[in-house]
Amino acid sequence: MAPKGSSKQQSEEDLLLQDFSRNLSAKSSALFYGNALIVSAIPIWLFWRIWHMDLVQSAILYAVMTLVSTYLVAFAYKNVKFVLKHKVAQKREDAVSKEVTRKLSEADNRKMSRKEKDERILWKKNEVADYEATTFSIFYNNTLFLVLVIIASFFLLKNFNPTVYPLSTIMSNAYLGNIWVLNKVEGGWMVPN
Amino acid sequence: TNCESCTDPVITPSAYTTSDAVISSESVFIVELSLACANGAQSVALYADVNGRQFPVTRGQDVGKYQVSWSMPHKQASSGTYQVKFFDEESYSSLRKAQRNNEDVDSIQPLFSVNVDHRGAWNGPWVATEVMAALIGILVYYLAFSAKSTIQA
Repeated sequence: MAPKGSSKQQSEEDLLLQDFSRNLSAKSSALFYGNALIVSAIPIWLFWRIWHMDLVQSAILYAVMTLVSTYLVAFAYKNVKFVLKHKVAQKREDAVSKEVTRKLSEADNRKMSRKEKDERILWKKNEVADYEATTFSIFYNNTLFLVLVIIASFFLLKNFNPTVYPLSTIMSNAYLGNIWVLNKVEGGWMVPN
Repeated sequence: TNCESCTDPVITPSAYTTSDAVISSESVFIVELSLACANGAQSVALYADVNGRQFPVTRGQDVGKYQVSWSMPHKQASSGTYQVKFFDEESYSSLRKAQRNNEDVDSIQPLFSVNVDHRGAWNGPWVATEVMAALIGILVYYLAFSAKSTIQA
């Protein structure tokens, strides 16, 4: 799916832009929000079965809490992914270029200019790093979120009224997950777009 | 020992029952109470009857404090309310007589009675599941965190 043709200049700029922007493609967005929704829905089971917070009675609370936490968790996914993507790309660069060069046949090798080869490698590296950073971000954030939910709800807030639980656990977790990630990039705090 | 009888007893009971069956061999019930009598009697000899078993009631260090305890195997210690009847000398001897003659035991009126609520003893795994879940979660998070640090290094 490497871009070819006369608009080589443009595609390279596009690639670079894409590389450095925080914007997500539609597919990534769908992946993130879908995952965030599922992960946010998990604690509902906890609240319902273990602390006997009835589904119907607290339906509004559950719905609001799930939506807010979905948004916050997806936000954390985006941030972590962005922070990690460059590092991952750096690490994978050698492997990707080896594989791309290997895949090109002899004839192609002579025909293509250095520039086009580099462009292909850059594209492939971007794609690989994107995917790896996405999946790792989802894994990392899910783990952090669930651990925080368990700790906060079973140990920290044990003595409070059960209605308080969803609100506070979810909000604090998602928030913590994000703060952790609104990260120190070269010393400063990064401001989300 | 002077055995006095008590009129118009006023009691302040407190009870303890075994709640964890994993670490104990039998379920233990303890009833402590402070007894105040209208006639000021202070060392009353009391006897307790629980579900047909009789136990002596010991006097505590402080005046007016009494304690009785009994144990039974976990299997027999079902959860629920146990009624502990307290008899003084007179009523206790009539109770024993009724027992010997196989008469109706329940017709003997106790001096007072205390209800003990036994919630049942926990017989589950050693470590609570939420602790296990938290520990496993932390372990997995630690793996994720170290992977992230490796990437960012």
